[in-house]
Amino acid sequence: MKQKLTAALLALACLFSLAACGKNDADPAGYTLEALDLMAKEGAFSEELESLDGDTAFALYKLADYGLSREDLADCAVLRSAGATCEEGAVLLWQTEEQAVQAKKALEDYIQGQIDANVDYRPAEIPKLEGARVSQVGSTVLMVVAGDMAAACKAVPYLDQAKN
Amino acid sequence: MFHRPHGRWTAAFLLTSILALGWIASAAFCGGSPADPPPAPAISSDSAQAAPAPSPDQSAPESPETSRGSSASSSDGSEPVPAYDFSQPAPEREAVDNSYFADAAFVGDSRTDGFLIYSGIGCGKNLTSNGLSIFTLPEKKALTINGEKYTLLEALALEQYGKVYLSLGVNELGYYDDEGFYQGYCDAIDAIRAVQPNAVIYIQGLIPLNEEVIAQTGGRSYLTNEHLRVYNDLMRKAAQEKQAVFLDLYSEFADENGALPAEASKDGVHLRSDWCKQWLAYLQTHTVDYDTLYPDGAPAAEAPAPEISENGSASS
Repeated sequence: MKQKLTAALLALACLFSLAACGKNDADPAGYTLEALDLMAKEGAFSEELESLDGDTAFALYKLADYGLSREDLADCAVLRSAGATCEEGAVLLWQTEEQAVQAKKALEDYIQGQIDANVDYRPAEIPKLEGARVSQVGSTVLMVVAGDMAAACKAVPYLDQAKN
Repeated sequence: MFHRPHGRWTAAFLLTSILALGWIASAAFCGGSPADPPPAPAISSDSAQAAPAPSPDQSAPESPETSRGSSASSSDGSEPVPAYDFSQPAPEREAVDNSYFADAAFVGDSRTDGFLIYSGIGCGKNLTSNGLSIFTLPEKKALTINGEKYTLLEALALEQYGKVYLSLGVNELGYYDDEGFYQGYCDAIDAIRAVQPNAVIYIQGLIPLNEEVIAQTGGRSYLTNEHLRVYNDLMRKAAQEKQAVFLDLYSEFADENGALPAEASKDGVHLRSDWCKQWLAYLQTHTVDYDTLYPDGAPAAEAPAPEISENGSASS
């Protein structure tokens, strides 16, 4: 009888644990392309951003300099300001986790480059760039420079917990 | 009634006078000489009055060769090819595809950076820097390549290009130094030609602004189309003086009020994606061959090329 009770309690604990994972929205499969649209709808960006294709994104983020090839980039969604602000978002889906790790480095360097390029030109945008999030989960990478990071995290809750 | 010998002399005199008058009228119609003051903007400009344009003694006197390249004879001895008229913007011609820009370098500011990202051009060397002006072009170490800092002109010298597109002028609107702007453009063309003697140099006229959007988004009050038009005239004059190709992008983008349409830009300055594509379409349909421009060879460069060190880096 005591063994049956222990088993039941363990099963219940597992169920609670799974439920908690779901609440955190920690998707082990990684970020999805829809994340940016969700952020936009939540008001993370102060303006309507322009969409970029994969070829342009690959060149813009200088991904080749990090040992990546265009074919490695399985899919992506990129939104970027045409120049009014430095707001931007990117979800990059890679073939492997190792590639995603490299891409995360590229995006971190890209953000630093944006800070350097805009410190005198658009000083009001620097706090957004300094508060940018770059996160890698599995073979996916998400970068966001938001006007309202709280709104971005509300749209993609796991981002709030993700390590930069 | 004239005696015959006297009549011949009179006829010759009249013919010579008519030809001379025609030549003078033609020169005036082509935009005047670089020695003339710049054409007045469409709307009178306080800034233009405060900062006068180059005076006659500061510009080279015009000769027919200044505004027009020398005509080239065709190889089969038929009609000579008409010389390119540097006093006019590049005429429209059949569109090239994007491969034309594979050996092109784009020197400019954040507007050009946006063009390279959003137009879909997919090629061309990006030599741009946010906030760059014609005044800071020679000395601002704007690019870092392999850990070393370069000015854009030094970076330009590291490779050979077939075309160089230059577009600077919006960040200068707050300087109110029209004479310095003109001279800066002349110097920049010389410097580019010194390191790229075989390239077609395109001077891209400034795309208009939308002042209402600028005001609504807290942009700088000195960003006015009135002053921008003065700069466009000066850029066109510099292109003529230095035998570079001028591209009239202002006319391509200006609405009936001489402004950039409000929907073209979120801040009144930087173009949205669809308008960057329009910019690209304009460049595709306004190209000029090097041989058409300079049938007798490259014009002499008037500025020393940056010294290139043994490791390939350049220093001014």
